[in-house]
Amino acid sequence: MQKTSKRQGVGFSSKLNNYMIKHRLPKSMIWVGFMATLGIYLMIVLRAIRRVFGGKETIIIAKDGTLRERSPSQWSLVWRRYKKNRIAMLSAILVVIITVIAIIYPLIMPFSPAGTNPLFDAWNGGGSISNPNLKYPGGTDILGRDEFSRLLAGSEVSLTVGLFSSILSVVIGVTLGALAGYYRGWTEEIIMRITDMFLALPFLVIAILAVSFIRRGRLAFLRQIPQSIVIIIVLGVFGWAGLARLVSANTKQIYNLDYVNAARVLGAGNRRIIMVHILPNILAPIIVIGTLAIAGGILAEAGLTFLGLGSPTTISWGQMVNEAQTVLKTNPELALLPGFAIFFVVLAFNLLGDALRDALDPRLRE
Amino acid sequence: MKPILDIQDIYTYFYTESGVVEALDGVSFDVMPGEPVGIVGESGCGKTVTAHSTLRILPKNGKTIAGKIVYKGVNLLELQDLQMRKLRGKEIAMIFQDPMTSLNPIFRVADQMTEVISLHRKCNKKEALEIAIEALEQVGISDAEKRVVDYPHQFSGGMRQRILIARALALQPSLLIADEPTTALDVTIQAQVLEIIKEMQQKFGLAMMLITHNLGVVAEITKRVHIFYGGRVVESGPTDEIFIDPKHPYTRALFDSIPSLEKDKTRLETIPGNVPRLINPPKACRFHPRCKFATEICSRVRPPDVWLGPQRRVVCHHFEELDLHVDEAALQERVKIKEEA
Repeated sequence: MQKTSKRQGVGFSSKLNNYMIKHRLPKSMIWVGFMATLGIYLMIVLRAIRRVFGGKETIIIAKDGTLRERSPSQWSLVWRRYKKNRIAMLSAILVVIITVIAIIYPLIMPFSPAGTNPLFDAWNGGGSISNPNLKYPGGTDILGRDEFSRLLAGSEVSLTVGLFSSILSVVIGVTLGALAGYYRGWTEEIIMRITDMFLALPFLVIAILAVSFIRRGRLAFLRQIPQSIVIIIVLGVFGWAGLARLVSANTKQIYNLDYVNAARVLGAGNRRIIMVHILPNILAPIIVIGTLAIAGGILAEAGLTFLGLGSPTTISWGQMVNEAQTVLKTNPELALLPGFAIFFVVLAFNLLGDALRDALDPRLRE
Repeated sequence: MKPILDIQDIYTYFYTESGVVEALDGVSFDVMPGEPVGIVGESGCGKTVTAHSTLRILPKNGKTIAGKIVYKGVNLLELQDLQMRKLRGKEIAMIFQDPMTSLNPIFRVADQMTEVISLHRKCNKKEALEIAIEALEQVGISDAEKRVVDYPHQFSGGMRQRILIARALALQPSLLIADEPTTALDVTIQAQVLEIIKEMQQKFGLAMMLITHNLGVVAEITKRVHIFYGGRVVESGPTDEIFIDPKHPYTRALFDSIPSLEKDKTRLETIPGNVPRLINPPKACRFHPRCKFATEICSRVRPPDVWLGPQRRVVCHHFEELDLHVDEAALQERVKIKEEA
């Protein structure tokens, strides 16, 4: 032992590495920490630059020396409206807490979510399917893994799948919807018929088919793709149709407004008109639908893994409910805890979506 | 002198589900450099379509199928999209009817003003903003420096129209198309905005195409007028001449239906019938179903352009007979409008 520690030296990275290994922390933590540090650093630097060069001040000094308050931007107005709504703030706090847990859970979880050590700890409240107790707050599951740690770890998969499937479907839906609504004619005809087709597909059935085709099909290279990425892709690829319709309809509506024509008369090209004049004006419904899609994605992921399409090695709430089925009568808490976790997270995101809709609604604009 | 904009016999059609709308049916007129020209007619007679055809911003189902639009010797209808884009805003600018919807509600005025500048000129943000502020000050926006950071909804209608005028003129274009610039404003503001347009036109020596159905506006600003009816030019000439001696029955009816404060009349003169639908428009002369002087030939032969002078044109079979029916009182009225302007 002494030899190795001498060879490794005492540099920061090796210290960190040792710490990570000692506490069994995943490599991804280093990246999250790195990004967070970088973000904070950048914020400080930008603020300093802004202070020195005087960028966006709230008070403007005109040529004649008089002072005037800078008019609030649209986003600060949205924030003001948002702050007034208590449920909105509550849901935002909930979402932040869940997100923080999903990022830092390796630091706070008491046991390894995959390890079966509690199985051999029966005299301290461990063992297989033990009831909740002080050492194991959620009890242990059939294989003797700590339920509470698994619950914390499950948030990562849920949120990642929800967030990225939503981003994927928003990207596809907005692109296709904007193209259809802007160019009309044949482009619209083709895109909207494809959209109709996707809307007609029974979502759960097709998702089950797609996931099992990718995970258990004959194509070996498809089977290499990790479980959560498969679910992200399937949810994203089959979830954009509604948004595409909405964006297409909104784009058409904005297209006919004078300021789009005015922009064209100023010499703006199609791309600029779509990106600068149309999309920002329909951002509000996109944000709302995107937030609600996160909740939908989390639910769909839970549903798919509950139905047995998850992989046993991925820790996810749906998977946990699935595994708890056999002992539902004796140990309902094994199914109820992840069930409630899904319930609260989905509720939080749905409330957030509704609150955003209220705050972004232009009819309430001051 | 060569005209800056020469529209030669253009046909613009709209292909709709209920049929082909012949929105422009052989329109030709020209605009001289530095000359304000009025385009007058009822709603739906093709004034705006002419403007949109010129800038090639027609909706997807509209197309200019024949004719030439020559701007400074170049046929705009043959240009590539990219070349056309470089022309818009820089060479030919346009002001729209409704200032409330012509500004993007989510951007600050500064961003919208600098957009046109940065699209056509290579300059940094600060220079663009300086040009923008200068342009805004010219149209009489006080405190332009401070107000550019405001959003459009913080401005009144008249102010917004001034901003739009400033934006249109920021790059000093050679031709300005003003599509009913005062229609959406209330009367007192109309006068101010007109004053600004007039002032700018004279200051920059702009050629201008002023589209309106307000004859008072035409009298005040323009030197020459083209009267539109049903997608065609029915009469054109210097504003003075048209006001004092309109030759076409439609023009005359138009002037007769201006309400007067002095004449003791209980009913306003009107033109019988409706604006023609341009799907299946009337054959030959499009005005003949509503015309007091129409005869058999009017429904059979399309009247030719008759040039009474280098700039004076009338498109009617019977304009010579019309001179016999001059209404003295109405003539006095028109002279008065012209003099007031």
